[in-house]
Amino acid sequence: MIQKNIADRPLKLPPGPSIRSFFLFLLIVVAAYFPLKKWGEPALAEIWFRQVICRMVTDAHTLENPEPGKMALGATRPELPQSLYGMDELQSTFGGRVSLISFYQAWGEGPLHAFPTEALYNMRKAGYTPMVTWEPWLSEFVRYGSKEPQKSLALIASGKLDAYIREWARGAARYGSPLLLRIAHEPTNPLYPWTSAYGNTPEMYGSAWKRIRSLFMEEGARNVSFVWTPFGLLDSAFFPGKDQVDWIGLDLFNYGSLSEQGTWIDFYSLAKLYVDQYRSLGVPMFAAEVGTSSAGGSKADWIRDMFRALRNRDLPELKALVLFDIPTGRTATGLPINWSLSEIRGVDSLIQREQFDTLFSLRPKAALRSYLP
Amino acid sequence: MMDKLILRLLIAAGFLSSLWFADFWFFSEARRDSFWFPILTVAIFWGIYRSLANWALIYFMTPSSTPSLPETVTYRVDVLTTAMPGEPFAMFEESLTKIQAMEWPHRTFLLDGGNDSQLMELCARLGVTHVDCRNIPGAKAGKVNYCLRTLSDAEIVFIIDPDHRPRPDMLSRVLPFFENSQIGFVQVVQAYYNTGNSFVANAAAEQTFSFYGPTLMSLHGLGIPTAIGANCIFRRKALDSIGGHAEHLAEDALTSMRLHAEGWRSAYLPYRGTEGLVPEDLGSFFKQQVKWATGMFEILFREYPKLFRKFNGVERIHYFNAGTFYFNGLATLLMLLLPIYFLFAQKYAVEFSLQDFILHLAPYAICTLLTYRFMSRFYTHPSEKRFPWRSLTLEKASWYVSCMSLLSGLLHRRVEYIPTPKNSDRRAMPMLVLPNLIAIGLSLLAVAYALFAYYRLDGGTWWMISLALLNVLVMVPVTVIALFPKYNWGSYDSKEHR
Repeated sequence: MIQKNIADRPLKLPPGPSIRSFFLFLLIVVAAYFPLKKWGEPALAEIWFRQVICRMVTDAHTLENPEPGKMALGATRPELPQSLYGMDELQSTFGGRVSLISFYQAWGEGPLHAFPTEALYNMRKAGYTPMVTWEPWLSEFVRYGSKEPQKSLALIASGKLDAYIREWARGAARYGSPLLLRIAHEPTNPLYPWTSAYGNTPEMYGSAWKRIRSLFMEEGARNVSFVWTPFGLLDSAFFPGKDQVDWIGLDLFNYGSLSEQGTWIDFYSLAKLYVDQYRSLGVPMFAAEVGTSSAGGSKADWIRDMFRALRNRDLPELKALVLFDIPTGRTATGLPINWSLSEIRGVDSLIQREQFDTLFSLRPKAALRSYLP
Repeated sequence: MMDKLILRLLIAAGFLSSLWFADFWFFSEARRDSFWFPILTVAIFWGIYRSLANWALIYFMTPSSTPSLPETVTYRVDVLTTAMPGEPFAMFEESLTKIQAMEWPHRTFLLDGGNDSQLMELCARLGVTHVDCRNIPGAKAGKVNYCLRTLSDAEIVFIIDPDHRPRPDMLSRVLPFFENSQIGFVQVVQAYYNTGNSFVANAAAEQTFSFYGPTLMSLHGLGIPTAIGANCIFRRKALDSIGGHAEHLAEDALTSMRLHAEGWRSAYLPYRGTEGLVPEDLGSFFKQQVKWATGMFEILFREYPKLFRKFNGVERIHYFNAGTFYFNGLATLLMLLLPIYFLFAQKYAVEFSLQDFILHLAPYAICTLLTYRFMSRFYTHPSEKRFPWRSLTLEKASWYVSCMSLLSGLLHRRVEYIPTPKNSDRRAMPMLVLPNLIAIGLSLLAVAYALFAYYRLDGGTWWMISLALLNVLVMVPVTVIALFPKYNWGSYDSKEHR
């Protein structure tokens, strides 16, 4: 065999890309990321929202009521929506049967007035169906804050607030699960600027309502049920229409001696007045705010009577009951009033557990475990 | 040129989509659990780190071909192969015949650890030098070094496993690379002739397709393809410069590391020069994995730090990536345990909605798949172009083997060097898949628990349920073939090819 020193005959191999060119490439890619994200992400998010998210929204215009023949029990608390601790206390009082959660949000700019995604996620995870009372105040809009507060319905109807409404509706669609939305409630209550007390007419009220609802439908928020709430017994003119409203949520308060007439009224009589008045509108009803003062009577007795009336099925029209557990209420004339349930010791003793169980539908299991022994 | 452009675009898209996902994962608005989020992050980003390393590597892809050889040049070549007691005689007969049939003039040594008389007779018949290696310590590499010290004096050494059958033109194709005086060794494709025999063989071979294609081609572009013990051609001078072939569980990897640290370069030729055996049953496959994984961990913990100063930057990065490959098992373990824990404990590491998670992960997943698809055009055989689900499930199912190897590597526990078994075992092997069975059972229980005990399943829970079900899906094929071997062997009625 021929022997040869092979070490001194270099042979060139095809050169691969250099390390330096790779780092240059990497630098360009990383630098390109930021403009790409800025321009590309919104476009991608829009496609994603229209093609995927919108199709995943739960169609819901009814209250979720897993147990037939029973009512849903709900409550509102002052610390909502930030914290659920007060709801946890109520759950232990009511045997884990509180399934609706109600809170209030004013319109405006900034995170406090944006769709409350995180709060709703928490509520959903804990098994609640949320009801948001969405109040069209103007003070938190930079452009409209200085305008007269009563202009809100006109601004909505003219489309000036569309951007805000759409953004909120999109948040609701993203959330995707059933949600009760109470818009511009109590259209004749003088405490609120969107009411007839500030010169708003039923026509303005109706056209604002229709615009909001149509924007929600456009954004695919089919999971939202619209709740209309009258203030007194004579608000039928403000009813936006049967096709516009999914629920009538009644606000039922006994002001006791603080009322205009200064008379104590029991739950049954009060509810009966409202139910009879609004039954003809042909929309299902529930009690969206229920509370009693202790001025001029016993709070415990009033609540015990309420449970008895409901248990006897005296008011079959009411599909849900939302307790207004708020200590800092006000009368229409501005007097402070305490609606809190914690004034009574042992609310759970007002009604027997078994009767209670047959009256209210059970709350979600996963959440239950931490409340039941 | 077009290929190069597509490749660059894919790599760019891969990096961009990973950045987008990382941006979402770390900086989007969501509540994160301070304890579990980092753990889940490690489990998820391990896979992303592997993809990024792969994208960075294939940037350097350079498919090579045989350089032309000046006619006056020739090399003396010694072929070294080993025998251990218990290996089938028919195999030696066939492979030694093929080795002798190589066109390039060469000498062949059979380093026999058993001094078998039948083999001696065979060697005499074929003109192979039979070397009695009964008392030589250090497994295969020990015998090779013994032979290099005493008998072999050629400038090129071809080390080949006894199950491998070389093609006649193998040497003449490879030798021209040694014209470049920097080249210390040349690696060719390791193909298998028994892949059709069983599911495991098929899957184990599938695991090597991308390695003997894009991966080694890219390393070739960087000048540092790894040596593979079964069929590698070394320059004698290079081996001598590191004191002979490394004696180690992962002897081939360590040898290439030492050679590269010493400044030698290597070359890879995408040519199916030899065909050998791939494990056919799960037992042999796992044994092979234990050997490789433990070897790689020992290299990472003990040898890599020693060689670190001698490596250049690229070698440091590449051998770190290679040494940490078997951490995949640990990542798989985490991905198995986390959904189970989260579903039972009703906990969240991070509260993304499933939709947002999918939106941000999808581009990354698509880029990974597209890259894989595109890479397959650089595979060395048309039959290799297919969706690699077999290799994927086999790799995931060997998670506990990697985890145990990690322990052995950390504790420096002695693992016996055994040649990969050449006979297949056709019994059911329930003990081998016990960890997988437990994982499947727990995952299903966790999903059932979530479906029954949760009232409302929100995005995060769905996400965990899909992860748990995905784990089950990935674990099932290997578990089934271990419990019911007939599915491993399928309709293929084993031809006794040995």
